[in-house]
Amino acid sequence: MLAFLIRRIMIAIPVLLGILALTFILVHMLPGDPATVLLTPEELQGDPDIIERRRAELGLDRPLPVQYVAWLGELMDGNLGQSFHRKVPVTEMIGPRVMPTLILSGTGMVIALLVGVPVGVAAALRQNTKFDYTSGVGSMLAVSIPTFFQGLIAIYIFSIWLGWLPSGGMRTLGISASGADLMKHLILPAGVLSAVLMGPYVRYTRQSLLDVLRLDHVTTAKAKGVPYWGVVTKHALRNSLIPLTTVLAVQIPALLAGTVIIEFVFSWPGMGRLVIEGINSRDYPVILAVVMITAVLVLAFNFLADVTAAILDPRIRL
Amino acid sequence: MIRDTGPGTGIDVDAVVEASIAAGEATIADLDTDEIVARPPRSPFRIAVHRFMKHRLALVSALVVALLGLMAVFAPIVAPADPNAVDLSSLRTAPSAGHLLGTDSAGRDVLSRIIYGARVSLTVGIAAAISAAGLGTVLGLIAGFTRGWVDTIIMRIVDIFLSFPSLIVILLLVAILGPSVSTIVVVIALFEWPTSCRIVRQMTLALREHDFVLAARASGSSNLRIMRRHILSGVMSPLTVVTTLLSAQAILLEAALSFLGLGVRQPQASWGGMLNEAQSITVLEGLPWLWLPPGIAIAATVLAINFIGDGLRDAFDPRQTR
Repeated sequence: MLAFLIRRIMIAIPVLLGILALTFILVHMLPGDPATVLLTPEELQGDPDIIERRRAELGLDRPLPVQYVAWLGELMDGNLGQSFHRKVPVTEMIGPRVMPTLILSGTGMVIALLVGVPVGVAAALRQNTKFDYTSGVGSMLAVSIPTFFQGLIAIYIFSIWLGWLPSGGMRTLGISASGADLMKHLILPAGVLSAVLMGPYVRYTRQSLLDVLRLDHVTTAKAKGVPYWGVVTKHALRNSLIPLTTVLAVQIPALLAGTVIIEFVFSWPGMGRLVIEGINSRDYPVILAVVMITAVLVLAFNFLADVTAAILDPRIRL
Repeated sequence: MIRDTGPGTGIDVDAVVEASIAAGEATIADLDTDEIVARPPRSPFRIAVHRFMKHRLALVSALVVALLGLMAVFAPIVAPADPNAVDLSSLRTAPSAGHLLGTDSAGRDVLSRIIYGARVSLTVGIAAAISAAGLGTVLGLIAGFTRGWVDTIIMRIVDIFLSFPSLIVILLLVAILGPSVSTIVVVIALFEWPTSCRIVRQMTLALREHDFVLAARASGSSNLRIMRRHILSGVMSPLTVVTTLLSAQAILLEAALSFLGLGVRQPQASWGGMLNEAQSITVLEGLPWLWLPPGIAIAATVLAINFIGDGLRDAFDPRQTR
């Protein structure tokens, strides 16, 4: 296990540095000279040399690799840069947006798992029946209809037509925040997000269970008279769910992409909406910080998933 | 084995690869027994075509996509009106005989804009998928064939790209570089190639151990020739599946970009851009002809392409005998 951990960490480190390097390249592609961004027009007018001095002060006259290392140092201190637009540290802008996004994506993922995995299991156990085909076409539909279109349809049906649920925001203005109110606002966005995620869960669970059901130990269990449900739950299902831990981690970028669009459609005050606001106000450092945080998160989750899978399935450790 | 899934693409790398590897072996096994007696021997390609034709959903989907393609190519002939002709006397009119799907906020004919919008979606879908698959194939072939440190470096680069939330990076790059069809294609290809790279690499690793590679080497073929002539042809079938699924992905990404106002610039018609207008509750509530048709157009196109991908995967997969 220790050897596996070390090997896995040796893979993760260059990937992490690569993620950061790519982010750094993106920072340099940004339009606008960081040296002038934080200066007032008066300062720029009054002193022609100020830009040069400013560049030296910020270290922008040094070679790129040196700047990269310096930038890494800044990251270690938790400095993700300054917002172009609001002139405050980026971390201050991201902070309050983390919780809403966690609530939304967490709920969406839990719903998707609670529905997707059982449906996938049922589809595998009834392979080539009507149920199997219906769930297959259903999950295909869910990944083929654009997320924003699903959102618009949900608003049209449940907010406009039926009037049951609010069409956007996280809480009703004017009344004090309560769990029930949050729930009402959460149902539509989390529902759409779970629909997006569910398709792959159904497909992977189904395929994985079908693969395991074909294995010899399942045949043996059947042959020695283990009851059907015992075979399914004890011998097949447990094994077939191991790959799902990895699928969950690998799906995180998709989850985030879905969250960006859903937060936009439902005016949900999370990180995704911050990204769109950042793009509209050309506030690139904010977007870049979100990109980097998510990339590092994806890496971390992939690592965790691999370790979990290795704990559950000793063969992977080899 | 387990990590080889592209995030968010819904492409099951292992299934594709296993099916394709099995396809090569099983078709030979099939031919040895009854089939050769029953019918004249058929090439694996013919068998795949036959299987695809039996997949009714995929066949219908192929027909739909072909029709869409024709519609896009012949848009000037098919469209009832100029998609950009502004008519201030008929703003947001409901569907009627004159405008089958009504008019938008600038008095433009919605149906004509849908027909022209197919051009953007299909161009982006095809161009981005082929560029991404091309880049992925070249790198995957090199990685799988040379192995060693080259392989390690390429696969770490794949890991790096797969860690990024592609939609957000694509949004950022398009915002910086300025929205145009070519920028969108390049940026999507830049962040969608790793899936195909992984598949090609895995296939190459398996294929290079075969005896025919050894035979080719013994008869003096260069590495380049072996890769081109022997490995690439073996990689073709999973690559076709992945490219198909990638094009669906690219169409969805373009639609999302245009919906967020960062895609193709107005007045050029694109389906996602048409939905961009539906963000106000008034449009959503009272003018369904402005947002339902483009949404349905995207969904139908992507669904059809995904079904084709599914049909192709089944066609190349001998384990599925339906």
